[in-house]
Amino acid sequence: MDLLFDGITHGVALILRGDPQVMEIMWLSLRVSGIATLVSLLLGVPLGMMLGQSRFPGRRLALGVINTGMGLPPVAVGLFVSLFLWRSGPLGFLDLIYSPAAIIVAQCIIALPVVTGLTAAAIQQLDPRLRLQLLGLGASRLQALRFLLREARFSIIAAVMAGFGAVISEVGASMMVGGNILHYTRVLTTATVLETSKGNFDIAIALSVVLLGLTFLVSMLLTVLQQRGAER
Amino acid sequence: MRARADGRTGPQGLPRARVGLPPSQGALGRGPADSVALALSGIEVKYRARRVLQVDFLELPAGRTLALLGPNGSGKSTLLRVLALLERPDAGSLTLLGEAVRDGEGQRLALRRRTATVFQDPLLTDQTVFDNVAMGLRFRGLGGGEVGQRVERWLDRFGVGHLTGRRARGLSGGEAQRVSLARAFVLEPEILFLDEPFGSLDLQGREALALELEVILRDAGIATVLVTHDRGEAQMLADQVAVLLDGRVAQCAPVRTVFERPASPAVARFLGIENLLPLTRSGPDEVRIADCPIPLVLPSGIARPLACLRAEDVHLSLEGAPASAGSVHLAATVVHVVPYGVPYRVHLDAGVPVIALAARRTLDRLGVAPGVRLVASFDPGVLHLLEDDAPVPPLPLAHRPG
Repeated sequence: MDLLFDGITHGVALILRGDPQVMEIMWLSLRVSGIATLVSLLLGVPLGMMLGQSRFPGRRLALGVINTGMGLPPVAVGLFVSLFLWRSGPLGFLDLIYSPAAIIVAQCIIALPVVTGLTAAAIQQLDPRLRLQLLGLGASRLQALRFLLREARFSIIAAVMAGFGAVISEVGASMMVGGNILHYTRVLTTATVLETSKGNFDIAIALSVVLLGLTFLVSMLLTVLQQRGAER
Repeated sequence: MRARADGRTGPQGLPRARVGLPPSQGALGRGPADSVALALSGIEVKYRARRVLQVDFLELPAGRTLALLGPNGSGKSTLLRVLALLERPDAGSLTLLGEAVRDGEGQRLALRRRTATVFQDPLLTDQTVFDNVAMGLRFRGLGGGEVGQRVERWLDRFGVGHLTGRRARGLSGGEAQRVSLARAFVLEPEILFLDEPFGSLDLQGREALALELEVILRDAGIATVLVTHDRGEAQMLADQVAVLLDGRVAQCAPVRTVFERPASPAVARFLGIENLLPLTRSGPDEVRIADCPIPLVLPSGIARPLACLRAEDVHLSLEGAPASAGSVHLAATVVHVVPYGVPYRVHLDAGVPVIALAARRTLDRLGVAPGVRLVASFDPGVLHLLEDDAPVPPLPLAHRPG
């Protein structure tokens, strides 16, 4: 009990003091996972819209693969990304292994199916005749797409939250492709694992609290954005 | 300006829509090309190798209203989507506003922007009423004060001007459909496509809105294609009716012609003509319904005549009551009486089944109940003759010709 209590007080003190090590790790986490979410958004939303509203052979298979990917184990992703990025691997010449960029790549692979799958589901929930109605009022295909996206915006914001939540909290892939290098690739989750194993519970708790707080803040921001539109 | 009361024919007195005919000689006498809003030929649509629509020829003159009338699944909505350039047919050609429609999306979009479509459900987007109605104008790159004026004008015209700032999601069904109609009319389209525009409303709202729309359509003079399964809506709004049955146009003619002279028993049945009575030839110049001779000269060329007789044209009286001259009187037994709307439907057996409509008062006066014997009379002049389309029963071998 003492351990827990001491850990929490020390942890909170570290945050309140703005401990440079904790802050550095937090900013890296936010940057890496933010970029990964953004990239998966840019790729996943158009992909999800295509899967959600067009009909082509193999569409069901593609949706099945995407839906499986929504539960992709981060360690498996970490393993395969490592295999590709290792010096001797097929993409070794890019010299990305054990860099923040490598973590971004792995996290993109984790978030992309989440964003794509949820976007496809959101688009499919819209009335299929809505697109015809928009075209029937003189929308170009692009204008119609924009309106459909707008109609599905609440679900798409939820997709962003789910994608961000998946990557900010994963540890396996970051550890394997980033290497948990101090001042370079150490993110909140990998640092928490390391500090816990070293017995530095106060730092580990501080890091966890920061992680929770960060996830809460980002989700809250998106929720406000979502609900502001819904309540008007 | 539309002359609706006078003859429902084109400028040269030709029928305004022809079905099953190529646009050949009949079309030569027409005015300039822009007097035809829309024409199609040889349109076919298939879903998974099943042909759901085949229309050889159809055209809509500028400023007129054509109803596509048919039961559910007859292909009328598919035809509307093809005409509105929202679906590509598997074969056939289409001319809209004087332009032959090509495959390229650019031309299709440009033509679509000269038309507007309204569907059965309002399909409003999650915005304000104003933004919904302004949507089509903004698609066309319009903005500023002109948009505001036009939107307000058409919202007022459909009696929903007070809703302009409201969110579309909170509207009642009737309000939403009015907004949806305003959203199409604000575009001042050259052709308007209406797909069951009252389908989501209750009976009262439906009638009220149909009446308003009739006035607005007449004033605006927009060429309109109306899809409906409701015969009353077609009668109220259309100049021309194309009856679709099983993906084909079974009849296309001015609205009165279709309702008074259906082209086939299938059309007559769909239009709700209650009695299709088989006529038998009992002599060179004599025909009968059941055992009753009818003073009627059969046109040659009808092998198996059927007489269309509307239930409201059948008059019921007691046996032995004074008979009006010139009428046909069938002795009949009441089979059953069905309350159906305000008048009751009386099902009779007169040797052939006959249905009559009668008010409650008449039923009481005549003491109508199953088994009662009555006389069913009608004016033979109201009969419309058709060729029976039921399969011919096979002849016994000995009588088979040749």
